[in-house]
Amino acid sequence: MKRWLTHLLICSYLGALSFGLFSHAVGLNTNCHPAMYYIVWDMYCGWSAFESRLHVIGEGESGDYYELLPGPWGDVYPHGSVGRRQYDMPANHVVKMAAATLRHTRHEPIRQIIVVEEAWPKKYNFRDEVYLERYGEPKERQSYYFVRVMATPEGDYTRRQPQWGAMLSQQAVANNPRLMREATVDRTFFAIDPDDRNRSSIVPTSYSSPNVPQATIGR
Amino acid sequence: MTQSTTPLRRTGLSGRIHDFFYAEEPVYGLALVRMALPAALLLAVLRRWPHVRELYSIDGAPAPLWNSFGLEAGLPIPSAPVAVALYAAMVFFLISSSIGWMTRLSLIASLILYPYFTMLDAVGTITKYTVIGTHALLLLSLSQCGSVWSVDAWIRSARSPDGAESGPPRFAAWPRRLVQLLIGVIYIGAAVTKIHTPAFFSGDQTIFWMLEETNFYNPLGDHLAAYPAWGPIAAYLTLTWEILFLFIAWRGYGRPIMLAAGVGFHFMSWAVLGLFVFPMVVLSMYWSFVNERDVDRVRLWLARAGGSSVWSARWKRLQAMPARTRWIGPAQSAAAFALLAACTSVAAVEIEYRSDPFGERRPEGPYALKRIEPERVAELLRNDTKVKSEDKLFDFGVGTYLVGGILADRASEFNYGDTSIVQCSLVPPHEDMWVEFNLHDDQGRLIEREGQIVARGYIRPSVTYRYDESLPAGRYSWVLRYDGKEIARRDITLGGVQTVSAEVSPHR
Repeated sequence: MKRWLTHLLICSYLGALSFGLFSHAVGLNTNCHPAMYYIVWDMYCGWSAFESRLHVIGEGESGDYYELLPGPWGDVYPHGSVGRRQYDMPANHVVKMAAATLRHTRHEPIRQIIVVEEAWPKKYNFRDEVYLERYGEPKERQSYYFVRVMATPEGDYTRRQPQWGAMLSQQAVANNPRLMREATVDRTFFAIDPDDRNRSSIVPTSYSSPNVPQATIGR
Repeated sequence: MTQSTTPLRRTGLSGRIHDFFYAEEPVYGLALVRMALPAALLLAVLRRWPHVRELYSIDGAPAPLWNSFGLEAGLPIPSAPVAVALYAAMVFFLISSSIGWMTRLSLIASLILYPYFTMLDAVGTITKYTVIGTHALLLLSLSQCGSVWSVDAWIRSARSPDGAESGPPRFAAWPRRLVQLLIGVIYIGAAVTKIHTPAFFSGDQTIFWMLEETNFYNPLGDHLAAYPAWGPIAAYLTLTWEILFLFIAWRGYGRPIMLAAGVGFHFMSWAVLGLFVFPMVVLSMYWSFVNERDVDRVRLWLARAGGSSVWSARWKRLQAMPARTRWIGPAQSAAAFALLAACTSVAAVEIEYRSDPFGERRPEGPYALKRIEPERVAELLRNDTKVKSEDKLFDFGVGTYLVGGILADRASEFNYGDTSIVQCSLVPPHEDMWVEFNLHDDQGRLIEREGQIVARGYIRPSVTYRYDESLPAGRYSWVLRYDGKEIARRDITLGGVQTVSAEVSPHR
């Protein structure tokens, strides 16, 4: 009996690993359940030529703006020298993190939470001497700033934009009047997005607006 | 898993599979994994200790994994004192697992608490190394890895001092085999990921990861990123190793070659990418490839080196200690274990409470939010949507040969008959672009204009140019133009003997 249980355990474990491998290889339900994260080995599946940082600020009723993340007590550095919020580039959790800061601080009434993505080409991450040797001029990094999220102090999203790189991609595609004319005919009030399990499945219509570049085209 | 000293030997495929999983052996390999893995996990666990309230409790801002998958309901999120107590207990259990004290219980407790905490923070805690660590804890908890080189073994030897003479206990090999198979499957999965990522084979993905600053410090990343032509070569070598590992890492020359390649690979993942805990976790599992013969070889080597007698004497003294301290038995050990675990948790709750991580009990009251200057606000909210022309360029060079489509060298002096390759690398994503590579003489006159459309999905346009005798010797410049303006310039010198005066245009 004990031997058979061991057989079963070995087969179950190897079966789970094999299912994860198969699912990953053919792209079958890789994000259908959190358990899939434990058997799909998709380390370093993406990349970007831009380095990004999130700035999370709050707009007070007086019109002043305040830094919400990191909280006044300091930042959390989970993997290196950048703060925890920087590992939430999809901006799924930073608003809740900002709401937690509001709960534990003194402040005037806050009208809204704003998440801004700062981006710069990674070539500016070369060390100064390497950059000078490579480009023949001193490094002068300038960042791009792009509003990603607006939300109520309670954490409800009022506006959401794609990441900087996705916006540039969509902008390149959307620069086509014929395509955009066809893509924006007959829009629904809600865009249902069941394929992407990393976002809420119901998002505002502005999500597919041509002015908000991560439209339904190109996805 | 019965104790026996008789190795299994069966024939045929099913017999060999049976032997592969059920041959009995001392658990040296897994004992080493048991010692190394929790230590590697603790590197990340202890780093997060001051932030337990913020990361894992309802008092802070947990980011549960299930929310990222679109699920609202999941595991319960603890209050701050409970989170702190459990986290401290997890630290204690990882340490006790490592030293082999109440090993099975420690590993099971770690197996429950470690993935629980990692799942509570999908932003800053859970990563693939925490998943790998969870798998390894599961397999260790199913094994008898505490039967050697552990506090448990030491305590047991107090009760049966003759046990040491009869050799280490032997158990079926299947937990060790599953750890080994797990490593191989992880590498195959990583290879599948790379196959799904065309930019990995051009080296672009790796190069831009090397310039990333979100991992730990890396000493070589940006130096190597300046020489991108090695990228395709490294990419194919890595893929080959990842696929082969599962099939040839088992015995013979394949085992040391694959393991050495793995050590080199993971070392480089630190040196160029800044990955630190991930390599430590995976390499800690490499100890599962240590078998009985390896241990015997090391013992023999130590004996020859003269160190054996010293260590042997120390180990015998250690084993003899319990004979004098008979009060240390399994019951006393369990009681001390429970007491220490409880004290650790209670002390942690008190210390964390006194540290007041959110500063709410300060004499001056809670912190006030930091106001941002209006100039900075204007900068943050300017909502850029265009990339400057110079920021679309990653690299521009003149050379003589390509590796994987990437300019592999840089040259500035050419002779008649030489061919140069002029290439630029663009920063993606970019729009469809008109890109010109223009050759100018030292007076600035345009000699040759090479323009091409670069579609949005392409980042590395280039032209090949042969210097024939229509050009007088002298200094020239290759000028890169797009967006209607000059972006970059590379100077070259054309020398050598001009044998024939030609009137034809340069060939490409």
